[in-house]
Amino acid sequence: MFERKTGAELTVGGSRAWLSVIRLLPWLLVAPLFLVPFGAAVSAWSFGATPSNQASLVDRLLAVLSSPSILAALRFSLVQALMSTILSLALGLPGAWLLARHRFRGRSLYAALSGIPFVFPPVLFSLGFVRAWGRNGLVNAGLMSLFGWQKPPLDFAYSLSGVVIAHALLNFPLVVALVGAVWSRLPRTPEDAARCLGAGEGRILTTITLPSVLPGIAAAASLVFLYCFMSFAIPLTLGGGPNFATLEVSIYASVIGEQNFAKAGTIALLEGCCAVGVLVLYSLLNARSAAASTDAPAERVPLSALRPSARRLSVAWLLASGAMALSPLFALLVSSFTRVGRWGGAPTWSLESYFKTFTDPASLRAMVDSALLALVVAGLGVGIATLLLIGERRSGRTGIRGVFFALPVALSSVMLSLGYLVLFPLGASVGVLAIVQATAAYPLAWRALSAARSRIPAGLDEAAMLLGASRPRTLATVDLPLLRQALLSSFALCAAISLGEINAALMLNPADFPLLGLRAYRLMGSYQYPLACALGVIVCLFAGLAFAAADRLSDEAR
Amino acid sequence: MSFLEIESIQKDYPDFSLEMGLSCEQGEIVVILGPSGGGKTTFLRIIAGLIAPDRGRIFLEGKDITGLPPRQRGVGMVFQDFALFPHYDVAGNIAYGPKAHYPRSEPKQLAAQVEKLLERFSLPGFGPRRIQGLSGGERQRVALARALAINPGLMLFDEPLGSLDATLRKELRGELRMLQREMGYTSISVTHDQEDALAVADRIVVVRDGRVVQTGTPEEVYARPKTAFVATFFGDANLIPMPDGLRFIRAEQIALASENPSTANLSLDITVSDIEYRGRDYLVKGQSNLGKDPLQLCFRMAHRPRVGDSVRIAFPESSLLPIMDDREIIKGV
Amino acid sequence: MSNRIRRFFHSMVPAMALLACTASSLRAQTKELVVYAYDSFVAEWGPGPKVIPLFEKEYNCKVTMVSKGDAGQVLSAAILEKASPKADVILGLDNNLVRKVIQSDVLDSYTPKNLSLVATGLDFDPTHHLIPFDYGFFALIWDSQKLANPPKTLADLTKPEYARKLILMDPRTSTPGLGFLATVVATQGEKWPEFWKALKPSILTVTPGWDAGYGMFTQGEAPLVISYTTSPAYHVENDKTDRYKAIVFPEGLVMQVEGAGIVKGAKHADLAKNFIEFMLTTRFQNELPLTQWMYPVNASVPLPASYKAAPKPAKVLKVDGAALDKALAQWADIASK
Repeated sequence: MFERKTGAELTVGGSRAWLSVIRLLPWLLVAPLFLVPFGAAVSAWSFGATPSNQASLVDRLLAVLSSPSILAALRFSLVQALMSTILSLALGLPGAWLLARHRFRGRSLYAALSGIPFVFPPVLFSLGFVRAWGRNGLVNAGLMSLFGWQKPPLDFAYSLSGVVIAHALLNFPLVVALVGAVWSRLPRTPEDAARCLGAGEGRILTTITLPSVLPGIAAAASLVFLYCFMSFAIPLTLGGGPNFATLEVSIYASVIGEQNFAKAGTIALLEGCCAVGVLVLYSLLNARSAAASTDAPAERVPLSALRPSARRLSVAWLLASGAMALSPLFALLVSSFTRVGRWGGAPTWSLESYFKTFTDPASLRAMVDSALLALVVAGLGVGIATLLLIGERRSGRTGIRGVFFALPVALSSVMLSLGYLVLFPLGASVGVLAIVQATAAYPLAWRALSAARSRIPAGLDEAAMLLGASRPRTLATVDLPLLRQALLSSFALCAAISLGEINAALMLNPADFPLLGLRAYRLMGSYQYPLACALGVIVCLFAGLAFAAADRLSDEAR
Repeated sequence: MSFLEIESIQKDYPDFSLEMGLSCEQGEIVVILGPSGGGKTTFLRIIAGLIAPDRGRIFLEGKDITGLPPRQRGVGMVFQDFALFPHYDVAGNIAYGPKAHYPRSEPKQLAAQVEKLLERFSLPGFGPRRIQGLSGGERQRVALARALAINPGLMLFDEPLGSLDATLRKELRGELRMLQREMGYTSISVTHDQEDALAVADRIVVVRDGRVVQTGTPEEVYARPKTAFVATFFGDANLIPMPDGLRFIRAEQIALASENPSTANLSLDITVSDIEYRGRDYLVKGQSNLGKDPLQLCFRMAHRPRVGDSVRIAFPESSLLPIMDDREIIKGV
Repeated sequence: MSNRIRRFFHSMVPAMALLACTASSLRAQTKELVVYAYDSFVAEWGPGPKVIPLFEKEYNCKVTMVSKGDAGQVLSAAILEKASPKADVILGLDNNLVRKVIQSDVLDSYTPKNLSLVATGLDFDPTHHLIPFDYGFFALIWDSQKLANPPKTLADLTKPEYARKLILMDPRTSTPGLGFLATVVATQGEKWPEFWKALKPSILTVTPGWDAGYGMFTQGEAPLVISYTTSPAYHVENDKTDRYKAIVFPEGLVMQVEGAGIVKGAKHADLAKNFIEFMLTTRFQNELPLTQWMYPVNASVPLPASYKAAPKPAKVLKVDGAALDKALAQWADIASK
C-alpha cells in the first residue's frame, strides 16, 4: 500500500519553496473573501450595545436561543430540510442509477438539470413552481380540462408538502448528478461476483451496490440538506405562513423589519454554526465516498439493452422526472408569453413582454452588463478555484483545508449580505459585487476541477517532470489542457451563478449597474410580472448558452 | 566511482522502511527483482527524484543529484502504464521532453528529430496519431521514444513489460536488449517477473522488504542463490534440511537413475505425488525420505509417469549447495 | 527599495496631488446631494428619473439617487452609517416607521415652508423629522373573474366561503403585510389574536414580500390579496382591464403616508432643505399618481382618469403605534399556532 503515497510527494527539490508560496496564497487571498463579511455579519451582534445594556455575546446567544420563535424557526429549518432531503433522494436515486449505468439520448442534458438550483433566482423559482403546480397552475388546469373536474385536484402548493416538493424538485437533479458520478465510478466486479454466487438483482442492489454507494448518497444528502436548511423565499411563500419561517427568514426579518442587527448577527452565528456542522459532515462523507471509487468509469449499457418493461419504466421515469425538474422554468416561459386579458377578456398569447424587453434600452443594457459581470465573475471564480487546486495534494479537497475553503457554501447569502451591509452601507461598486459572487461560486468550480484532476493519472505529472518540465510548465502543458473541459464547464457554472444571483446584488446595489436578475426582481415589485418572467427566461437562456458553449468548446478539444 | 552510485538510501513509512544501495557501471542493464510490495518501485522513484529519501545520497556520473528536482537529473523513465499524455498526439508526446529542455528549439529540427525516433521505433507516420488509438505495444514504443528523446544517460523502467501479453512480452524483451546495445544507455528496471529479469539483465538485484538480498549476474543468482528466498523465487528449487544446515538443488539437476549420468553419485527412491506437464519436460513431485516437503524434479521421458509410481532418481552430491535459511521470514511476509 | 523605484514614486507625488486637487475642485463646483430611496422610486418607471432632473436644473447641483431595496433596507442602511452619514436626504419612510426613525435618531427635524400645500390630516409626524409626500390606503384586491361575491367587511373574510382564498404578506418584511396587520389590530383591538385565528383558514399563503404575493394573485392562485386601493387603477391604466377591484371595508382602511427627511449630519443640509421644499411642489407631486401609484399630498394635483377605479375609504382607521409594535412582536407566534 505504501506505493500509493508516492503521488503526494512531488515536493522534492527546488519546487518546494514555490509550492509553499502557492499553498499559502489561498489563506491570504481567498480566506478573507468570506471570513471578512461573515465576521462583519456576526460582529453586528454588538450593534446598539450601550454601556447600560452591554450584554455579552453569550448572554445574547442564550436570549436568542430561548426565544420561542427562533427555536421554532430552528426546528422548522431542520425538519423541512430533513423531509426535503428524503424526497430529493427518492426522486434522485433512480435517475442516478440510470445516469451511472446507462447510455441514452439526452443523458448529458439530464445531468445538466443539476445546474438549475444555482441558476434560478429563488423568487422566480417559487413563482414558477406556483405557476406549474399551484391551484391555478398549468398541471391543475390541464387535469381539469382533461377530466372536466371543477376543483383543482392538486392542492399541495401551500403547505409543508408544498415546501418539501418544491425543494425536492429544485434539488433532486443535484442528487442525480452527485450520486450518479459516484455510482459510475464504482467497480462492477463485486456485483458480477454476487450474480455468479446466485444473488438476485434486488439482493445485489441491497447487499452490494447500495452499501458501496451509501457514502456518496450520504454526501449528496448532506449537501441537499444544507441548501434546504438555508432556504429562504421558498419555505415562506410555499409553506403558507409564518410557521414556515426558517432561520434565514428570521435574519432577514430582524434586519429589514426590526432593524435589529444585534439579533440578526446572533441568529447568523447560530445558523452559521449549524451549517458549518453539516458542511463538515458533508466533507467527511465525501472523502469516504471518494475512497470507495475507482478511477475508470464502468462501461454503460444502452437503455435498449434492458428488458422491455424495465426500459419503458426507465424512459417514463426519465421523462417524468426531467419534466418535473423543468416545470417551474417551463411555467415561467408560458407566463412570459402571455398578456393580461383586456377589459375582462381571457389572457392571450403575446410577445409583448419580449417586445418590451428588447425595445427597452435599460433592459438591453442590463443584458450586456449582466453578461459582462458574469464573465468577470466566472474568470474570478475559476481563477480562485485553480489557485486552490494548484496548492492542494492530489488526494483532493479533504481535511481542514478542504472544509475551510468550502465555507462559502455554508454561509448563506442573507448572512453574507448582512455582512456586506455592515461593510458597505452606501452600496458597493460592481467590483465588490463581482468578488462576492465569485466567492459564492468558486467552491462549485473548485469541486468540479478537483474531481476532474483526481481522474488524471498521477504518472503524467511525473512523466512531464522527468522529461524536464518545471512545475509551472507541467501545469500549463499537462494538467490545465487535461482539465480543459472541467475548466470550461466550471467557467459556465460560475457565469450562470452570477446571472442568477440576486441576494448580494440586491443588498449591495451597485450604483448605476442594472443587472438582469435585479431588474426582474424590481419588475416583479412593480406590477410587471410577465416582463419579470421574460427576463427570468432570458437569464436562464443566458445560463444555458454558457453551459452549451462550454460543452461545445470542450467537444472541439476532444 | 561508478557511473551511478547510490549510497544506502533510506526512506521510512509508518508501516514500511526501505534501505538500499546500488552502484552500476555505464551501459549496464540492472534489473531490480522482487515480490510486489517490496519497495522496488519506491527505490526507482527515489532515483528519478519523484520521492525524496530520508537519508543517503545518489551520485550520477560523479555528481550529487540527491537534491535535484526530477527535471534536472537527465534521467528517462518508462512508467508501468506508460503515462502517455492523452491530449497530445504521438509526435507531441515525443517532442515534449526536447521542448521542455529547449523551449526555443527550431520546430522543423524538432519534427525531424521526432520522425527519426519514430522510424527507429518502427512507427513511421505515427506522428499525428492519437494515443487512444494505439495498441499496447505501440504505446510502449512511444513511451520509450519519448523517454529517449532527451538522450538520458540513465533509463528507468517501472515494470516495462508488466501490462503486455505473453507473446508481446517476449518480443519486446528482445527489442529492449537490442535498443540498449544500440543506444548505450544505462538501464535500471523493476520487475516482479523472474523470467523477464533473467532474460534482459546484466545484473540482477533481488529485493525483499526494502532490503537487497542478493546481487549478481543472472547466472549467479539463479545457480548460486544466497538464501532460500532467492532460490525459491527463481522457480523449482528443492530445499533439503541436512544435519549441517539447509541445502539446495534445482529441479533440473535431478535425473532418473536409469538415465544414469556419471556424476550422479547420490540416488534415492521417491513416490510420485503430482505431475505437471510443461512441454519440454514434466515437473514431477515426489515424496522421499529427505524430509516432509516433496522433492521437485524435471523428467524428460517419452511416457508420462503416474501418480503413485515409485521412481529411482539420482544427482551429483556436489550440486547440493549450502544455503541460508530465511524461510520463516518468507512465511511472515 | 531601489533608487529607481524611489525616484518613480517621488515623481508620482506631484502628479497625484494635482489629480486630487482637480477632483476636489470639480466637486466644489457642483454640489452633490445624495438621496436614499427604495428601488421603485429610483427605477425608470418610478418618479425619480422624471423629477430629479428638474431639481438639478433649478438648484444647479447633482443629485445621486441610491436605491436601497425596500423602505426597511433604506432605514437599515441609514442606521448602519449613522456615525458618518453618506446620505443627505432619506426618502420613502412611512408612518409606521416614524417611531423607529425618531428612536434611532438618524434624521433632523425640519419644518418646510411648503407644508401649507399638504392636505389636512397627512402631516403624520408632528416632530417633523419626516415630511409627507404621498399616501395611499391598504386594501384587499379581489379578482372579479374568480370570485362572485367579494367580502364586504373585514369580518366577512373569516367566512368558510373564502377558505384558502386570501394571499397575505409577512408584516415583518413587507409594508402591505404590516398594513393588513394594522387593519386587524385597529379594528379588533386587544382581541386581534382571536380574529387572526378565525381568519387562518382563509389564508392561502403568506409571502415575504409584496412582489411574490401579488404575482401569485395575478396568476390566479387566489382571488384575494392585500395591496393598495390604487392597484385597480394600475390595471386600468396599463393592462386596460377592470378585472381587479379594491374592497373598501366599512370598518375603515389603514392609511400609509410616505415621508422624507434630512439626515442628521448631512453634508449639504441647505440643499437637502431645498429638496424637501421641492418635493411638495406640484412639479414633483404631479408625477406621483402614475409612477408611485400613490396619492400626492398636494391636493391641487389633478388625478388621472384611471384613478376612478381606486375607491377612497369613508373612514380612515387610527392605528396605535405601540399596540401595533406589540402585535408585530407577537404575530409570528400567533399566526403559526
